Formats: sequence, C-alpha cells, structure tokens
Amino acid sequence: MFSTRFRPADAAVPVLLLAAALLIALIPARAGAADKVVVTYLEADNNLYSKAYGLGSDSDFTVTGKDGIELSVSIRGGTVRVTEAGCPGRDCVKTGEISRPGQSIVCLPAGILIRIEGSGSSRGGSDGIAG
Amino acid sequence: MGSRADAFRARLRRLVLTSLFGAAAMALSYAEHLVPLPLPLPGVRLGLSNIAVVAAAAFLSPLAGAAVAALKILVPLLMSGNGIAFLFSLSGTALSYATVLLAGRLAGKRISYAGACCASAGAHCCGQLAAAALVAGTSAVIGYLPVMLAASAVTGTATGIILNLCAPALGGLAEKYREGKPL
Repeated sequence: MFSTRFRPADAAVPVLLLAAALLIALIPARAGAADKVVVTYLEADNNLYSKAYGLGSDSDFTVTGKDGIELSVSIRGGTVRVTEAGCPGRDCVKTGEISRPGQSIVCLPAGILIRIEGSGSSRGGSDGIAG
Repeated sequence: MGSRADAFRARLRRLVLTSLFGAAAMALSYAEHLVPLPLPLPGVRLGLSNIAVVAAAAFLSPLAGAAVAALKILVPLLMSGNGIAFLFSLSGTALSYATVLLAGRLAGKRISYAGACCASAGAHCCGQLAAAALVAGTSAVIGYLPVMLAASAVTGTATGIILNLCAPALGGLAEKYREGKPL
C-alpha cells in the first residue's frame, strides 16, 4: 500500500500537522468573549437587582449595595476584580481576579454577588471528562 | 480436491490471519497501557495498536483492516464498559482509518508508512476531539487540538517508522499465508 522507505513527501505530513497545530493555537483566544459578568445586589428596599456586563469588553463600574456600601469593579482583558470596597473587611478585593464561568466574587456586608456566566452551551457544562 | 474445499480453506486462512492482526492490535494496546508516556499531557498515547490496523489494511485487505479497527474499538468496550472512551475510540478510529485508506488511494507509494501513520494519528485526534466536543456540549475542547496535533505528529511518525521496519517481514508473512505455504 505504502512505501517502506522514507519519501520526501513523508516529511510534509508532520510539518502540515505542526503547522495546523500552530495555526489553531494562534487563533486569537476569544475566551469569554461571549461570557457575561452578572452582578446581583440587594438594594436598600430589600429587593434583588441584577445587571449584566460583557466579559469581552473592558469596563469599570461601581455597584452600590446594602447600607450604601460601594464596590468598584473592573473588567480587563476577560478578568474581573473588585478594586475598591467601602466595607471594613474588603474580602471581595482580596478574592482577586476571576475569569472563568462559574467563578464569583461575593461581598456579604453589601449583599453583592458578582458572577461570571458562560454563554450558550458552556453554561452548566461539565468540569471534566475522564476517558 | 474440489474447488469448494479450496475456497473454504482460503476463507479460513483469511479469517485466521485477520484475527491474528486483531490479536496483535489488542496486545499492542495493552503493552501501551503498561508503559505510560512520561508526559503531563492527558490523552496523548503512542497509538501502537494503529500499527496492526494499518498493517492489516496494507497486507491483507481494506476490509480486513476495517475488521481489526472494529475489534480495536469494540473489545475495550466489552472489557471495561466505558461508554465515553468507546465513543472517543469510535470517532477517532473511524476517521483515522478512513484517512489511511484515502492516503493509500491518493498518495500510495509516494509516501511511506511514516507519513501515512502520521496523517492517521492526526485524524484520530480530530475525531476524538469532535466526539469530546459533542459529549461536553462545548467547542472549548478545540483549544486542546494544537497539543494533540503536535503530539500526533511525533507519535504518528514513530509508529510509522516501526511499520516501515516491520513491513518487509509482515508482507512476506502475509504472502505465505495467502498462498497457503507453511511459515
């Protein structure tokens, strides 16, 4: 069926595979471009409100929660973090960056939940599959 | 002796020979599990059992190769009952075997077994990841494709070189069997 000695064309196959691997790897990782940052917060009237921001576009905003506690949130390059918090504990600032669907930053004193939700099919997907 | 007995013998020889290649595929895949690759890459394997599949296709017939490929997919399912692994194996092996036949048709003697196995290994990962994408319901697994493709360029060439070296002996063996000569 095939030759049993190396042919010049043999080298082309692995080279093509490696080129394809490189090409796919270089496709700009639009990771999280369609993911959303959902901010849920409790206002003074004791009702829950929620706002959604795109994870793909950089933005800064502030959220005011219970007792007038204000959080400054920053979305940069697909990661979200709380930069400033008006509460004494500042646990949300210490949480650091989140970037993957399912991760969240919580501020209990202000009653604010910042959560990344996956888009479409990745929502509620599996964490891993063992073969 | 009548020609019916001859035809029966020929069929029997074909069956036995195909089964031998099938058994070789099982043994090779078992041997592969005994020696894990010292790489931190899940899912990357040498793919030794593909040697038996390609050899059966080349030295017996495309149908015999398909039979060995089917054994390679089904026997692990019977032994482990792992449905997900079966699905990955099915899609990977089917695509990989189709690629071998296509390469034989298109390139033939212009490439050696090294090139053919390499293409087949690449197709195997594409098939596997396609199944993984279906099972996981997300196209995010495609992110792992570059790793798998790069690995398959190496592992495919390695198994192909093994086949390049074994081919003369295997071809001679298959020839003797087919003609009904003793070994």
